Amino acid sequence: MAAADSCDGISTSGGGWEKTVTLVSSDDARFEVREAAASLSQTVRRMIRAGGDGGIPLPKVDARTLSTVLEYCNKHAAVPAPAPESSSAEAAAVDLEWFDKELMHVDLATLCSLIRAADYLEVAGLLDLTCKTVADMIKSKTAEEIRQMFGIQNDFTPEEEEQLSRENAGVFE
Amino acid sequence: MTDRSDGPIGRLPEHLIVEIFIRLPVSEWVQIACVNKQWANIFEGDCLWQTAIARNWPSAGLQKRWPGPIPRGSPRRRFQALYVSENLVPSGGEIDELVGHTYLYLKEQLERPAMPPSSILHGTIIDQFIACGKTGEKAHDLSSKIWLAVIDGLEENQKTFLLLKHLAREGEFFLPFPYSRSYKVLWRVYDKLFTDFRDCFSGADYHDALSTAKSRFQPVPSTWLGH
Repeated sequence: MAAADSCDGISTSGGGWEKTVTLVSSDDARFEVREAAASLSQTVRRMIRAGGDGGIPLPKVDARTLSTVLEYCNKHAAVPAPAPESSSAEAAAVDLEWFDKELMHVDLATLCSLIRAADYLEVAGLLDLTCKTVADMIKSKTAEEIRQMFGIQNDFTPEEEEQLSRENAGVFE
Repeated sequence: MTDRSDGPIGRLPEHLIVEIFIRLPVSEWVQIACVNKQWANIFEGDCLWQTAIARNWPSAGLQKRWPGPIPRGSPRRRFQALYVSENLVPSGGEIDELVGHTYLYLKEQLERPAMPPSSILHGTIIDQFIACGKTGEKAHDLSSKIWLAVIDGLEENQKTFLLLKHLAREGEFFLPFPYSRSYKVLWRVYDKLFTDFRDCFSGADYHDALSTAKSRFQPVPSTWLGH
């Protein structure tokens, strides 16, 4: 399978050469990425298979968002798969968890851009991470606290609100 | 859909808001459905429930419709049924969606102002399980478990007291196994009446109930005695 626009490849830590692809953001920034990392995106993987030159266009993702997505992909694709339950596997998992946590230290608008990008690019792990991050922000908050945190207007009339909480109360015991 | 300032979260497409919601515990859903109309509507549609079923019970998606008197209903109903099967009715690890549906069916029937005789409800549940390939014995056992789970889940209020009293008083129908009423269920009905609801009884009512109990259970446990 021919990579779309592999230039000369980049050196890996092992000293070997890896195949790379070029991704092009909506604002025409070009990113050269190892194919293994880019393939964490099912969308990109399909486009690599389809072939073509001049780089893979990703018209729905801007450069700033794409660079964060690729940071995620590079890190997660780099982790080797040592024997499970070995101490190095555990250390790698802890390291990855730490990395993910740091990556999520962004403002809400960025987080939402990442959710959209992860969905469009079909990076399952990143979609899970970003949606979980927002879910954790919502957890244990009242409806009013959620509105304030996200800047959402309450468009219910008081009567509707009353009725809603009555209806929903019995759904799960 | 909103050009007012509903923030970056409000501008996400619905299927992505759903992705966030399904990562929250179900107990949080009541709160988030009250945030605004857009979020409330998500709980009215099928997308959320289908996505949540696929995430929580991947094999449930493969389940075909079944014959028998109790229907499967909407994705929302199916989600509730699966939730009940997993959390409210003890089973041997395997989650049977049908158990949840029969639970919801029974609970609704008991809440009706004029509930059908319990032997009819019991029979309908048994027929449902037999229609889905269970043996008579297994169907009887499952039906008892579902009755017990529903009875245990009833709120402690006057309505429940009246319902339990009604169930205790219902005449015996001598139906053949597996349609015969479950001894365990009747015992639980009396047990709840004489422990949780003892204070609701008037003196005469209590002695009435106790004498019926004594005619059915020998000996009656000491916790039932003494008004």
